[in-house]
Amino acid sequence: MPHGESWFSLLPFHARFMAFARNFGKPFNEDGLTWYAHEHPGVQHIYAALFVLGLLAIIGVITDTSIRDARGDLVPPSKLTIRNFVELLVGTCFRMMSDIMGAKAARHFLPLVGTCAFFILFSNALGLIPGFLPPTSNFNTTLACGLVIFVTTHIYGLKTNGWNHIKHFFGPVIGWPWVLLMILMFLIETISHIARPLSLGIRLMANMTADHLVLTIFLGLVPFLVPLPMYILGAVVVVVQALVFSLLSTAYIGLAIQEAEHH
Amino acid sequence: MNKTWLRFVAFCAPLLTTATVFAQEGAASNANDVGKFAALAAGLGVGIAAAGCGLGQGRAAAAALEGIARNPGASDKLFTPMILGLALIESLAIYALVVSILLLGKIPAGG
Repeated sequence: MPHGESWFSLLPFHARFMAFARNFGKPFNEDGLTWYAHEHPGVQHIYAALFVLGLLAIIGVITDTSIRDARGDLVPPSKLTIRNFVELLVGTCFRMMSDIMGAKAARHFLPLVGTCAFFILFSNALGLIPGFLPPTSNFNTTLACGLVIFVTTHIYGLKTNGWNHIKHFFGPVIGWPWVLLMILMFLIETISHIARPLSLGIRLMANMTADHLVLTIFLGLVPFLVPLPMYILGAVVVVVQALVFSLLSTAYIGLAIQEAEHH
Repeated sequence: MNKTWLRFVAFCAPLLTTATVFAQEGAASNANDVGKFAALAAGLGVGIAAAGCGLGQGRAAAAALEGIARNPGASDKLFTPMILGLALIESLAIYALVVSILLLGKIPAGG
């Protein structure tokens, strides 16, 4: 399978969708190539992301319908079912978020960060299957996740703290004698805030791309048993990167909404 | 002529003659030069980043291991912060990897 292709190329509408995507990009760049890598834009990550979202929806529906009675179904079944798996993941997410943000805010933001965690975990894991490309190995997907967290941070920061949220950009001291310091701190804080979604996106994208590249190289060299350590490392990286993304986004949201207490 | 002056002249003579030879080579096209330096930078960038990342992660893992050695019961509580710290330190080396991949695109084919 050539680089950049996956099993989704076998879909019947793939050729038409690819032609549509290439024509769609034409007004934005002269020759249809992307501006950051000068290659033709691919659509494999779109298919894979939609597949993962459909999978998450199906899992959500199955879990929801398996809990019919709030009293009788309180005890989980003893085997590994989808409900157990989802409860485990959601419970872990909630516990980690409460450690950072407190239980009330964690309950409020659990849908957002939990969805990010699930989506990134399943997307990363999709790349471990031979022949599939992880949608998070494309900067578009990860930047989208990072931008959603960025917008959430600022909207909830403004909603909770109002003017104090912007006052924190200006640094420790505010007043006319320190105008130069305020301007400098504003620049530094703005760059630091812009670097957050970029770093979230680039970290995830580069980890997944490097992982996929290493696996491709090893599978091309010796397909039999040698890639096994790389697969184990890949599995570890998949879980760790989902964990890091969720924890960092929780920390950013927690920082934005907690400023009211420490004055 | 004393020996010091003779040695000084003997040292300077190759420098003065080779300058003309290099001047001829410097008139070559610019794209190959960018490609050469881009290839050099791509390799060195990731190498230096990997060295720094190795040092940093070594310190993080050493601190976690020392904590586990002092208190083996705390190994579960130490595991998650250690993995988080390792991933964050590694992400710095990965930023360098991204820059290297972008630089690899600047090397002209066959250059």
